[in-house]
Amino acid sequence: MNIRNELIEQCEPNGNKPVFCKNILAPIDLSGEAKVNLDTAICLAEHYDADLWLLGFSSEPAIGTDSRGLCNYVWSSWSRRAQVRLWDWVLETRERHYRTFPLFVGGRYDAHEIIRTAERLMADMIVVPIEASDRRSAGFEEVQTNELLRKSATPVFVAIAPRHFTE
Amino acid sequence: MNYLDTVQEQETALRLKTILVAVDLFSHSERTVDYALSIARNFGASLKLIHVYVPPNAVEFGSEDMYHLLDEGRRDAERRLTNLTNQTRAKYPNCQSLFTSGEPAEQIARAAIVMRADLIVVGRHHHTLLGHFFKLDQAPKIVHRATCPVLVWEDDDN
Repeated sequence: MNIRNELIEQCEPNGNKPVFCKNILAPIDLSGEAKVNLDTAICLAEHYDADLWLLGFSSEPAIGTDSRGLCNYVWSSWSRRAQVRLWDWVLETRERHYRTFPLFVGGRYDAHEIIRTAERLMADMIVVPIEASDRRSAGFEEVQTNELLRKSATPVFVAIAPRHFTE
Repeated sequence: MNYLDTVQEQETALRLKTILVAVDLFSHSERTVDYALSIARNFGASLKLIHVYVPPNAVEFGSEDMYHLLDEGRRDAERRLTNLTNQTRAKYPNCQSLFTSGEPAEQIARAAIVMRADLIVVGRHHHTLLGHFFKLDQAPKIVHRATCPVLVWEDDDN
């Protein structure tokens, strides 16, 4: 915790509890090649001096269940590739916020998994990056985001249009 | 990208100057405002409370008495918003309120644009089946219409 937050905590009048943010969870989809905008999550983590956890999802490859040995090989190869991508994100993010950590989920973007992870992690905030133009077209992810908004007990910060955030 | 660009990129900071708090004036609203207030305090932002009054559909077929009754309901909501604003102002002077009527998600998104809000804070508490059925939960609708970030916060007793 930085000095500013400590001062705010000590000087809080009228019994108002300050908002704590120790753990921030940012789910990212590793399936696409598109660059995920993590600016808001990084800025929030910096501001609150919090740990930033990148929760990587990646759609599993469609493999026939009877391909035996080949199936395992393809799955582990895909899993490794996805984890390497996640680590690329983590290392890139660490250049701006050092306390960034990876969490890998071997499935597609799922609201319930995000909620479960947030609870396990005791996250104080989930930051969902959404591009303004993607909101209507992102079919499956949109459903999952709505589900997340409806069911998450952890505050959900939907980061839309980052133009307001940076100077 | 040259070195200067990299440095400038790294120096970007979270800037929240105006926080718009959507309240439905139920008992949970105070907690939502308190949550938003602590964020506003942390960022030194101004707080704007907004309540959107939804006129009942029956108004089209109502009598004069019905109009009076609805007008009373509207004034009551306005009074409660003023009380909540005064309460909040006692804790945090940089606070204002806005009372409008219409479709909540649309009005909140519009107000956020007009006020150049940097963040909308919405409390969520209608997550029962009935609440879902009657579409009382406005959070997803607001997210779909907003042009600035939205923070959805569970303000339930549970």
